[in-house]
Amino acid sequence: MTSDGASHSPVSTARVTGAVTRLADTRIALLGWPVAEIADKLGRVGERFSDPADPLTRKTIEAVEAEAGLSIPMVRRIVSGMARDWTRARLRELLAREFLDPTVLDGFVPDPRGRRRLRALGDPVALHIGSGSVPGVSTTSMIRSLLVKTPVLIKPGGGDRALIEAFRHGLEEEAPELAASTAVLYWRSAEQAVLDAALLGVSRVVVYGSDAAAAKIRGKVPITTPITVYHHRFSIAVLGPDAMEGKEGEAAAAQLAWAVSTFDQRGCVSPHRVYVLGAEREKLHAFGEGLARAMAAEAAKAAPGPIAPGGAARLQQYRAELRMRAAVDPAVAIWSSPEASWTVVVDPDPSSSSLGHTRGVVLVPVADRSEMASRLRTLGPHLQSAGIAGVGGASSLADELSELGVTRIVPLEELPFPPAWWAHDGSGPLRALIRWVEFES
Amino acid sequence: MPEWLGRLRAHFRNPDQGMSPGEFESLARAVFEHQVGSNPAYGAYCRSLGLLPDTVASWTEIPPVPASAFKSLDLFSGTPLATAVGEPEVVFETSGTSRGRELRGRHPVASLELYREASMPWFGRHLVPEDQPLTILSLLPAPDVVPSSSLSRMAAFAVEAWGGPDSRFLADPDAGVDGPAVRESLDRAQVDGEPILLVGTAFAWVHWLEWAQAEGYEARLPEGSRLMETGGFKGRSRVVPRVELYRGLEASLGLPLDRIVNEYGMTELLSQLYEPVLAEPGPTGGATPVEGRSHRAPPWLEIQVLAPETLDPLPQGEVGLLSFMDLANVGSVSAVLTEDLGRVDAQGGLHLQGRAPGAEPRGCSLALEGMLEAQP
Repeated sequence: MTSDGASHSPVSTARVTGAVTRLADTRIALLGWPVAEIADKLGRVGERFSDPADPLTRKTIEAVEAEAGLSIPMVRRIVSGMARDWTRARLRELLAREFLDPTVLDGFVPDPRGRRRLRALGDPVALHIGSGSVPGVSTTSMIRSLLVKTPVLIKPGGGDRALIEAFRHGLEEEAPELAASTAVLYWRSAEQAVLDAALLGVSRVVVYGSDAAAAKIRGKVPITTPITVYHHRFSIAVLGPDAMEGKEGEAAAAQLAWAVSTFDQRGCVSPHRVYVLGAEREKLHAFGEGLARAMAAEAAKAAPGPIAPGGAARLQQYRAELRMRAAVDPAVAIWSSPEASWTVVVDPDPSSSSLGHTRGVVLVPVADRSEMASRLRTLGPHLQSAGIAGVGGASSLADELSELGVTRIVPLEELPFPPAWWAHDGSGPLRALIRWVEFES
Repeated sequence: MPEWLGRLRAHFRNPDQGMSPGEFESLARAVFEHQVGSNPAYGAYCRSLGLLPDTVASWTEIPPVPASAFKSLDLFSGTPLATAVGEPEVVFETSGTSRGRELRGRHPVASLELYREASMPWFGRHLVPEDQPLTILSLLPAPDVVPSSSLSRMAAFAVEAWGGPDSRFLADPDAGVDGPAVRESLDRAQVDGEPILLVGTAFAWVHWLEWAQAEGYEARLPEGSRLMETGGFKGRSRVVPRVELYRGLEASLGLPLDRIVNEYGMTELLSQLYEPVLAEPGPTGGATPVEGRSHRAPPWLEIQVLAPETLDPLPQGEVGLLSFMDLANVGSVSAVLTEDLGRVDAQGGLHLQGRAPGAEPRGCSLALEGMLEAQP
């Protein structure tokens, strides 16, 4: 599936080169658009995806289900959650949060802190490379690029093609001249020649992907071409004793189940491990049971997508091994669905094996924050978000988590859908895509 | 020695006699009872599931342990045969991977003699059906160098049973296959004109082919020679499709494809399965295609094919997860759930589909094990 204003033939190096050239030709026109107007046009398209009755949304939901391997209710949840940030109001707020004066994207504006004038400038043309099957990632990336007035060629992830195609279709209807500054072409990662051709003509690169894939692309990019890498990460949760019992415990379990289940746990914002501070075994196991009920309820609301035989095989090994350990070690416990829908584990000594992306969560009891820190220290470069609940001294915990590598600390229920202006892996999402120009006369 | 163990050993010695379903059921129950009673981890597991010798309706309900449990739990059951039941005579270990951090599986073996009894007759049926001495060249380290290798031990048993004076082990755990030594042995075999048996892992054969190609060496092995290939490419940087490997061996050694036998085995099982290309040659006498071959299990090993998501048994012929009931594992745990996929045909042949690699959906989230294993 491709969309670049050209024919729908397989992607060739010539086609990619042609697309990059055409995109570069639209830069002057794009620079002439006030950023507020761009945000308005994008927002009008984005708002269609918040309307479940919109024919474009309905058609998109079905297409996403087929390609991403997610259930329809989960696709609806993801699309509506993503689209929350694609509205006019949210895009205006994104611009306002990223820039004191968003018109700095339109031209030089006075720097309130000095005599100079500043301008935030995008690039002649960018290549954004997505990966995987989290719907909406590529669409958000395209929106960001247009907001900084950079024409963009998007190579979406294999499971993230339908939504960006639909968005681009909506943009063609709403603002064809803006859509002309975008192209969506899909090729397989093995097609290195196509990637090389794309890299040749662009002046900025954004990569989402595994550490290995991102490193490979980074090695190909000239030193003069800025590159932003969103490599693979995972998220955690930290629970204090206050979040383990009573109504607070029920709420924490429900929020955690929601966070684990959303995206079928494929998102970098999806928690995999929960560090439980100073909990007694009995309370921890009672919380585990409650979490298991909440996971079952989540599965009933939005079933997980199909699991591949290889994933199921690994899951069965993990579950059976945990059951064996639980039989001889009362500190270990496991609850799971009869099929592969979800798994909850209490494991004081989680091994290198894991549940993969199968809505599996491991509760790790730790005596205190010092023990938690020592366990997390080696994982730092891959940590993303931390959801917290029931923790006293949250500010000092935030300091400690920041030091470990976490870039976002939020209440549990906020984990899956960060706002448009979040510090994505530690950087402002628009500020990561511009260069500052200062002008002093 | 209990009566049931004597019966089981008699079956080991005479695999061609087969085993009736009733006999398998009886022996499986006896082995299960022994293992539940003597293996604390397995016994506790079975009790937690409520599946015990007096509650299971048939051997198919005996709880399998996951192969991964051999990495984290002590699964020694001892045997009534061993004089010192408290200690395994040897512990076989799974091979490591290039990632280095992965724990190795450990299979405690109560009695090497039982391993020999359970492995050799079935080996002989599939690799030395004429039961005559021959030179055995193993592209493996010798068992005194790697005592934890079940494969090297099995090759040593074969040498003791059938090996001629020129039989040798021709690999080193660090340096790999000793190309010049293999060449020397192959040259001698060609001069002698007597058939030989070659034994090695798939990766060793790839190593050998690369060496032979670089040296421009080709052999034409005496008629009647045969080769056993086993194992995959776990943790290796290079993976060669099986057909390509066999074609390479055919060209390099002058060995017809229907003289190449694949063995399916794993450290966690003391029995092995073989392609019966020598034991049951095709009716046309032509080369047996590599694709479509199946493996034969010995009578004391039964296979269950399970639905990957639920572990419910699948109808015969459907592809699913393989779970084995290997009575040769009497000293550890006999019921073992693997990560391998396959199906069993109407004749009982096992058609392996291997391990489903990384097929799960991916996102921007990192699967935790990938990261942990990547650490030094």
